Amino acid sequence: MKLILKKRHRREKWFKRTGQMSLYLVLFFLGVIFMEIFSTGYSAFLRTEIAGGSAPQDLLNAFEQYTNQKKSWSIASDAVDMYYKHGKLGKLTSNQLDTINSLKENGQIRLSFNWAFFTHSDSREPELAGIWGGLLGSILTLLVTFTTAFPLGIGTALYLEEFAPKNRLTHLLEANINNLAAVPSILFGLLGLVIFIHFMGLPRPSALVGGLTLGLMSLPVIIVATRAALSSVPSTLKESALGLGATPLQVLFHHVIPSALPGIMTGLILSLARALGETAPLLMIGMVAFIGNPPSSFLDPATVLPVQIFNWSRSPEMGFVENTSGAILILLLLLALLNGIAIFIRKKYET
Amino acid sequence: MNNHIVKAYDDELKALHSLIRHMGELTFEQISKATQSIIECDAVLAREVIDRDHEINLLETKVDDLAIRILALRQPVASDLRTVVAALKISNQVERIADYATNIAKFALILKDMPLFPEVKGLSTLVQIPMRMIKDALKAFELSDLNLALQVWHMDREVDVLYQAYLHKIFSEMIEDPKNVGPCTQLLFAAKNIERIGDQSQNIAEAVYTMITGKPFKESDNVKNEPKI
Amino acid sequence: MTFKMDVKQLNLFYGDKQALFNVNLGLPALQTTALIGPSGCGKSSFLKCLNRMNDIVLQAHVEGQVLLDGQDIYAPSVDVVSLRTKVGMVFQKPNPFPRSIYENVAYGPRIHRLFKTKSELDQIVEKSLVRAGLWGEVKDRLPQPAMRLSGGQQQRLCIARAIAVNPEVILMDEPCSALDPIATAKVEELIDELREKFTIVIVTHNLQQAARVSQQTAFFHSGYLVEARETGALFTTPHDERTQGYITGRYG
Repeated sequence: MKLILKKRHRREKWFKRTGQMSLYLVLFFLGVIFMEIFSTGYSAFLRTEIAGGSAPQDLLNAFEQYTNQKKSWSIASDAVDMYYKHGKLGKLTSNQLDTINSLKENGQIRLSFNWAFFTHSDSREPELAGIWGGLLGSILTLLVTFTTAFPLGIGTALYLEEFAPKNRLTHLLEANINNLAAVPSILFGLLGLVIFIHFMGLPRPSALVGGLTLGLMSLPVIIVATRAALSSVPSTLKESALGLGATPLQVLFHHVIPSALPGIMTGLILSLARALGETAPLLMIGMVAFIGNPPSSFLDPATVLPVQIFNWSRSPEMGFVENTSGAILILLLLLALLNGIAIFIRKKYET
Repeated sequence: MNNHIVKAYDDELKALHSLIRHMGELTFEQISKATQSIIECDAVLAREVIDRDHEINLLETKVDDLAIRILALRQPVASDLRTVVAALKISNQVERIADYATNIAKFALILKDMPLFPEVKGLSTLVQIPMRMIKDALKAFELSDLNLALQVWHMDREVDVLYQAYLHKIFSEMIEDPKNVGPCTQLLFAAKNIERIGDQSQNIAEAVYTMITGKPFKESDNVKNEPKI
Repeated sequence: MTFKMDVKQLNLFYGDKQALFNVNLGLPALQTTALIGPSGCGKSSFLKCLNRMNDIVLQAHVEGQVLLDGQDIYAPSVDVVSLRTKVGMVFQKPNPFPRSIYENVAYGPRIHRLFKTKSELDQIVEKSLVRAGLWGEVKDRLPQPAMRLSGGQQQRLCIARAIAVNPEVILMDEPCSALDPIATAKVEELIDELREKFTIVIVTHNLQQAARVSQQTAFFHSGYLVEARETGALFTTPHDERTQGYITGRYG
């Protein structure tokens, strides 16, 4: 008897330990990834500047200069930038190295916050490239996604959950919606390509088409989440309202939807977060092209943040490596923000 | 009737029945012995009867305790409730009957110092029906036998008739010889007690009637359709 | 006797399954009728027939008549919404809306527009809470969430919510099954007081409760109404063997 007890305790301990170990392993990998991204990416927010007139043109960026009130500073070329930040020699000649070192001694070279990383759009020059175009593209795209997927998703879920007759057809429909939520996202890209570009003839790499495509992709997720939220509203709540003489529509709008709203909003925000990080379907509809200017309308050629990261990661210049990591940091921050909002909403209305 | 789902409940009701049965048997014996002690002028037997009365009192408190316990813990309804209430009433009445037996035994102690009197034998005839009544009334309670309860109820009339006849006999003895007045008065009291036993047994029969039918006993309803004995 | 509600030859079907068979039962005005019986005997289904809550269940189908003041509530001309203001309902588990105490009581009057000014609504709320015996306990915290009340208070709040729309009949589906004995006693006392104004029907598994609060008791068994009599009579001298077996604990 005692032996069995001992054995059982040992097994439980073993099981617990294994779980703990796997958790620590996951945390370790996560830590490594974050460390790697952060250590490469933080320098993207800094840039090297050289005091005006104190250096030859070949050390400067050819296109842009930065002036402040007392002293004008010029943006250093990416080779100088890499050397100054990381000590990487690259293609610098020994003459150029001497010049840089003498600038260093005279305090005529410095690091300052890289505003351009946030205000500029994509560029062939890594020191001038920024995320603004991608960010704006992402925002416009998500706006389109939100305005299409939200009402459609909620409407569908409400109908299926509250009004649709429970017959074989609706069962089939439900099963298929659940399956759609698990379909690879690239297929939605194909769908978008066929419907919105070939069939409807909308302009190719625009935020509108991207948003509609991502909307298609988010729909099943939103429907499933909304239905789960609606069905978790206790039936006693509905009964008591009906018992007081409320009409079914009053019950729905006064009680069911308010109670389900936190769940609905969480589902919605999480699906938007997923759409924000999505690349594959957008590649299918041509949003992968290099876009130098930020989009000024939904119909302008646009790209989104994850696609921009994808493009940068393929560029050969050394400067793009840190840009890639920097943009990833921003993207992660946005995703964390969206998830944070979702958690906040859930906590606030849960009680 | 089916058993209760809760067995302990059944056991308690059975215990209640058996306490009453035990009380009845003891009381029956007491009456018989008390009458015998009068007839045979047996002072020892009379004392035994008087001494044993407390046993019956003890049984009555036991019945009361158990009945109250069942009422509090089981909250009986319908037939169970009526059974418990009837048990409470019946135990009280049986205790009274036992008191009558004790009284008779006490008269025996007084009579033993008086000259022997022939009419004393008449008591043994007089006590027959009341004894049968108490036996049958308790049987009717135990078996929920409505017919038997009604039979018991109607027997009381015979007791009354026999009692009246006995009174006349005693009275005529008293008139014949004033010396007889002393013992005759004692016999009169003993006969009265025996007659009361019949009345109490009739009350038990009424309680059983109420227990079975749920209605209070009404004489007018039951006099006409007298059951066949 | 005049009946507030009179059920005649009621048959209830859920799809192919028949739940109630030829039920005839009159509910005397301003009295409490208790419905007892084993689980699944149809007493709750019967209760729901009285304010057409069965309409929620799509496959439920009713035959026969349920008369409220002589008018059949299943007649096509009857509006379910106005029926339910006349026949209110209190449920098994206390289920206040996740809103303030005030809003819970005010909800019924709001959807039926039973008031003209805010002060009229205040009066309705106060009167209902007073009647439900809850006013003293909550008058200082009306804007607080109803979910913070204790279980017994929540149930009395639900009763206040039901009487706020001025019903004539109140249906209660095991209203005390989730409450402790003290809270139960308070609700029972409340039921007794409400009898002055309302006709009450209560489903309960607690036989003592049925005995305590009701004037008439109806015993249901597998879809049939076995016996309905004055409560005292039913609990001392039931006529039917099945009733006797059920209330004395010899059932099954």
